[in-house]
Amino acid sequence: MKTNHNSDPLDQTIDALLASRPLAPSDDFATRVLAAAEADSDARNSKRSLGSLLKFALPLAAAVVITISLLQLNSGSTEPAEAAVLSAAEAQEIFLLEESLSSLATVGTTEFVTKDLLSTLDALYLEI
Amino acid sequence: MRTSSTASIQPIEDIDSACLRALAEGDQAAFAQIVDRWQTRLINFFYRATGNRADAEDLAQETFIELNRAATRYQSQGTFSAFIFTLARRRLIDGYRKKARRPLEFVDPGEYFMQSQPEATDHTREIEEAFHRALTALPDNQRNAILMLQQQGLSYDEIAQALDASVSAVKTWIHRARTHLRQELKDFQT
Repeated sequence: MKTNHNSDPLDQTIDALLASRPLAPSDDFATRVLAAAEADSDARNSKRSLGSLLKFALPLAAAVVITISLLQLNSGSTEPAEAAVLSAAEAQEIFLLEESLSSLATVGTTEFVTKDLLSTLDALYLEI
Repeated sequence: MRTSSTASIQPIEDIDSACLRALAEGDQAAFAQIVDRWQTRLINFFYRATGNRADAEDLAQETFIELNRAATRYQSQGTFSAFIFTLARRRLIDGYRKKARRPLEFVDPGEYFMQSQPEATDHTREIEEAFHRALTALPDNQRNAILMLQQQGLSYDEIAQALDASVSAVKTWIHRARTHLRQELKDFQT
């Protein structure tokens, strides 16, 4: 304990109060600390072993996920062709509808043309 | 080839640093020795800051656990005292944060004193209560610095290391703390 060796009584009182250690540890304090430290060490060790397990398990799991993803990608490779066929059919359907609508537009005119009517019916027939 | 005579001189390691090294190598008995040597010092350091035995013992226990964890990374660049009080200061800051998150427990200075010296006279109790109030009213740095100097016997360098401050800042804090304590206790001057 350090004191200022001051002759002033107030300083001496303050020094004495500052230097005092009024509290004695509880009887079981040291035992509790040692038990808590041991429990903490055990918890850290189990975490460490889990960590080292994860160090190997995580890359392995990642590799499995990537492999499965790639397999799915390969097995699903025919889908784009199907999609292309579908879109071709849709395009044809759209084309026919456009044709029929354009023909109908000409029907509304004062001059009724037989050719237009035939082509419209033809288009509608195909559509049906 | 010229050899330096000082090259072979090894610094003398204090017993606590040696225990900490032994602990890092797995010697739990060394840890028990440290706890035995430091428990009273740490508990009283925290007791002066918190005014509560339970909190003081909890903080001391957390400091010892932190010390146990830190044993493997301990570098004896400073002293063991500075090292353990660095950990103690961190625990104290954490303690304040936890306190801030939950309602404060009122600690009656009378109760504080009853815990410490139940057989004391009224006058001594009065001084102790005033001292406790004055000490708890100090800013943390000032209180920690003056307690480390006068209760714990650390050097200015060690305090500066523990409080992560310059020596001149530590001296200023201690001077201000003492001035404050003198002011608050002037009525007890005999």
